[in-house]
Amino acid sequence: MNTLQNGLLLASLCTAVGVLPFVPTLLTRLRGPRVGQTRQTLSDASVQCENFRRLIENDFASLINLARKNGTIRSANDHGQPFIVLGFQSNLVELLAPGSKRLRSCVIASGHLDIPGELICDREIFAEGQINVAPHAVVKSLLSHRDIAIGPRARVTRWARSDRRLDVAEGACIKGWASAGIEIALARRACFQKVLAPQIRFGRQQDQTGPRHNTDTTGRFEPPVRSGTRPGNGHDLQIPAGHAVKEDLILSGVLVIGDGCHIIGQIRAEKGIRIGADVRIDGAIHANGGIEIGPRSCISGPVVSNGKITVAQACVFGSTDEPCTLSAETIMIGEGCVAHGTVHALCRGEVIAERNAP
Amino acid sequence: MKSTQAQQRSHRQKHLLRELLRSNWRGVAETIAMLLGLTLASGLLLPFMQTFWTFALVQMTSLLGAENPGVGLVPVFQGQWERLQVPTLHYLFPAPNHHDWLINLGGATVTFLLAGLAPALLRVPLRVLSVLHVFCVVLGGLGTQVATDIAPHAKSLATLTLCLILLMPLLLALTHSIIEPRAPHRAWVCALCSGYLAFSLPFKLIGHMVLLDLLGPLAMPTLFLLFGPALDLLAVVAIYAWALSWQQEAV
Repeated sequence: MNTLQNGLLLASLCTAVGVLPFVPTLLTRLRGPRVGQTRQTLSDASVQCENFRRLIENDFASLINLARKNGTIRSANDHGQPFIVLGFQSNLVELLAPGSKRLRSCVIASGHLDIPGELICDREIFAEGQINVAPHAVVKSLLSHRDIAIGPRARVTRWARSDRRLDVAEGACIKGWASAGIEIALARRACFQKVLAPQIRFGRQQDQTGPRHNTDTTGRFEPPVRSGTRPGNGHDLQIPAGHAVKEDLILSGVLVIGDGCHIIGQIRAEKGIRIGADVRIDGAIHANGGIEIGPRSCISGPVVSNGKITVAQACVFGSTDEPCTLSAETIMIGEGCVAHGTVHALCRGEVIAERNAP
Repeated sequence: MKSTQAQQRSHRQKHLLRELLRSNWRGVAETIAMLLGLTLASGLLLPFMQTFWTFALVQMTSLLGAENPGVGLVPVFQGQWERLQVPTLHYLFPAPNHHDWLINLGGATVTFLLAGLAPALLRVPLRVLSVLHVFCVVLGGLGTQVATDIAPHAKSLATLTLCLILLMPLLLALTHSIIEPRAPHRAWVCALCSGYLAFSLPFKLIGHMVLLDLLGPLAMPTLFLLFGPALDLLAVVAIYAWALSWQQEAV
C-alpha cells in the first residue's frame, strides 16, 4: 500500500468519524417527516377516521358492552398492538404507572374519558361520551360520539372528530384534520390546519359594535374594462368606500376595496386583495398573493389564496345553508369571526388575539 | 411602586425555586451526584485517553509517511497541573506562496458562484462560508509571512476538546437532567458525547494536518473556526438530539 492509498484511507476514516454523530440526523432527514402532516395525510384523515369508526362498531362493540358490566379490559389485537377498553366508572389515570408520560395503547371508553395532562398518546382514542384532553397533553387521534374539549396548549397531531361539538382552548393546537357535527369553537391563539363544521367560531364572540354590512352604498362603481394586453380590469384597482359593484373583477395586480362596499360577482387578483371594513361580497375571491379582510366583513363565497389570508375581527364566511371554504398556505383569523364550512390552512392557521389583530 | 413589584417578583421566584427544590430534592441530589461521579470518571480516564491519542496519532502519521511529525503530549497550563496534557503535532508548513493564495481565494470565489446551483438549504451556508474564508485568508494571510508550525493550532483544538469532555457532565446536568428522568440514560448520553469527543480528537488533528498540507497555512483560521470547536459542539448537539428521540417507557 503506497502513501497515496494510505492518505485516501485516512481521509475516508476521518470523514467517517466526522459524520458518525450525524448519522441519526441524516437518517431522519432522509426518511422525511413522520409526524408532520402532508397534504396527502390530511386528505386521508377523514378516511382514517371512518375506518376507525367502523373498527369500533365491528370489532369492539361486544368488548365495550363487556367493559360496561365487568370493568376495564386490557389486551392486544392479532398484530400485538395493545388496547384498553375502559369501563363506565373507570378512569385512565388509574391505569397509568406513576411518572409514565407515554401511552402506546389504543383507548376505547364506554363513557366519558379524561386524558391527563402532559401525557403523550401514540394511538387512536375513542369515547362514547365526552373526551376531555387536559393541558399540555399530546394525542394522535380522537373520536367521540359526543363533545370533545381540548385543554390549553394541548395538541392533536392527526385528526379529531366529534359528532357534536369540538372546543379548542387557548393556545391548543390541532395539527391535522378536525371535524364536528354541530360546531367547532377555537379560542384565541389556537392553531389549526383543516377544520370542518356547519359552524366554526374563532375566539370570543363580540357584541356587534357597528354594521355587519352596509347596504346603504353611495353609488354604483363601474370598473374600467381593459382587455387585450391586460387581463380584465387592468393592473391595480381601487374601489372607493361605500360603492356597489355588480360585476366580476379580474386584475393582474392588487385590488383594494374600500370600507362599506358591496360586491356582487367573482373577484380575482394576481398580486393580492385588500378588503376594508364592513364589506359584503357575494361571490368567490381568489388571489395568488395575500388577502386581507377588514373587520365585520361578510363573504358568502369561497376565499382562496396561494399566500396568506389575514382576517380581522367579527367577519362571517358563508352561511348555514350555503357553506363555503377558506383555503390558503397561512390563515390568521381574528376573534369573533364565524365560518360555515371548511377552513383549510395548508401550512399554519391561528386565531389571533384581539390586540394583535390587524 | 415598581420596586414593590420587583420585590414581589423576586420573592415569588425565590418561593418557586424553593418549592421546586423541595419537591425534586431527590432528583437534584441524584443529578449532583451523577455530575460529580462522571466528572471524576472523566478525570480518571484521562491517562487512558492520552495513551490512545498518542498511539492513534503515531500510527496515522506513520501511515501518511510524514517526515518526522513530532507527536507528543504537552501540558495545557505550563508549570501547573502537569498531568493535564493534550496531544499535539509538530509539522512545519512553508510560508504561503502565490499558489496557496490562488487556491484559497479562487476556491472561495468558485464556491460563492456555484452556491446558486446547490440545493436551497445549502446556498446561504456555502456563501457565508466563502465570504468568511476570504476574510480569514486576507486577514490571516497578511500576518503569515513565515513558515508556520501546526503545533499551536493542534494544541488549541485539543485543549478545547478536552475542556468540552471535562465539562460535558456539567452541561448535561444543566440541560438533559431536566427532561430525562432516567439516570442510566443520562449517564449513557454523557458517556456517548465524551467518548465520541475523545475518540474523534486524533482523527480531527490528522484531518486538519492533511487539509492544511493541501490548502496551505492560509486556511488555518477558517479550519479552526468551522471544523474545530464548532464541529465538536455540533456533534454533541447531534448526539443529544438523537438521545432525546429515544423512546420513553410506555403503558
